[in-house]
Amino acid sequence: MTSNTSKKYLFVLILVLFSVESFGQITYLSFNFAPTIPTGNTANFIGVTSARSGNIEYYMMSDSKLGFGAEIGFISLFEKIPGETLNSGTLSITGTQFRYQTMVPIMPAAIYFFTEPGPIRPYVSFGAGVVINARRIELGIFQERSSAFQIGIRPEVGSIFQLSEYVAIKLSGKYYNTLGGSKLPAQSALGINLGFVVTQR
Amino acid sequence: MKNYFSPIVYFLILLLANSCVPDGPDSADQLDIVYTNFDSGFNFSVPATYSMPDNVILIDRETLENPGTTPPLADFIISQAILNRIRSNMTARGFTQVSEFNDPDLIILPSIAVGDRVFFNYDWWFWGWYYPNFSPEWEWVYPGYLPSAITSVETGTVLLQMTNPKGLTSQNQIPVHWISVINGIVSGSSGDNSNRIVRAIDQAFVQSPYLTR
Repeated sequence: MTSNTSKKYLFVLILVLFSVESFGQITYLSFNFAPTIPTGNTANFIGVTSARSGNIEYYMMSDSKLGFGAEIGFISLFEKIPGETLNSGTLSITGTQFRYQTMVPIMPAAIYFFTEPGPIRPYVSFGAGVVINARRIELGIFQERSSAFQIGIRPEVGSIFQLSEYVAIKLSGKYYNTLGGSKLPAQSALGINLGFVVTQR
Repeated sequence: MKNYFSPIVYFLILLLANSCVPDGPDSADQLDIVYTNFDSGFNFSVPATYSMPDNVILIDRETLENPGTTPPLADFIISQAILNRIRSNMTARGFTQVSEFNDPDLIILPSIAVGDRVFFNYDWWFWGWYYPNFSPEWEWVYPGYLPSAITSVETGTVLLQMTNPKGLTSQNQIPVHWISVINGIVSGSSGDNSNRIVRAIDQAFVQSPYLTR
């Protein structure tokens, strides 16, 4: 599947998910602050935890425990590495490297609550979709860029704490993992989500 | 159904996204880079002697404005800082400096690019005042590598070319076996420059371990 085709399908999917009327079902819309800890290949590139990350999730419950929806996120990683030498063939370049990576997960997801609606609702969720990864190394006058659309999955464990009929907060842990390709190897990161949830009945 | 996506939400998302832009360089020395490249087919342990001029020249264009004259020269203090550091590194690697008239095995040509470009195939007239047996018909050749990975630089970039005066080809080409480009190092106060020049030239040799006898 080409990246353009992927973009079209995703756009349609997101449009459908966000435009469905609720017809009495419970919906959850959450805005999450998401500090992210790079792991695996991502940590080899940037090893610094980022607080520049967030995501928006939307779920529509099909019954009291099971719901379906989607997530769109933005993870911005950055690390400054002084005095790093890049070697490529006979060429060597040394300087302060400014490394940037953005990860944009766009994933349809399912959520399962272990309890009936109440003040505390632990849950698990699972998302699968694409992660748009873009990397950049700036080294003085040099800049190296690479980017890739990658298939990714995202399991999550957490709990929603209902503060009132319409407002809740959530705390969860997510693990993003993508399949590697020719442009970029597999990427992974652990996200802690602290979110503000709007509940609509 | 409540409209979740009011203009206020979009505005907050925009503000959040704007705050997500990571930092970049916040001082000039964070833009300093040391680039080296070399001819992997040349055995650097064979040559024993080298020569270099007493001055560093300034190159602001590809051709010398008045062929046959000496090109503009760099500030004396900066020139000496560059030349002394090259000398101490070459000595540490086992090479001996000799006069250009004593048949050196290598000749190192230091120059500073004035402007935002560094010219790798500049006019040989720039070295007409120094290079032994000079001919204006000579050309540069970089055997086995392409130095032009660098296309634009900060003004004040130092270019070091290690040439082989005994390797003149039948096409009148002088081989350059090693090259270093030290980006934007000559700028600001001379005190600050000297420290940065020393660090940068040392780094050029550190990342070129093959440059030894």
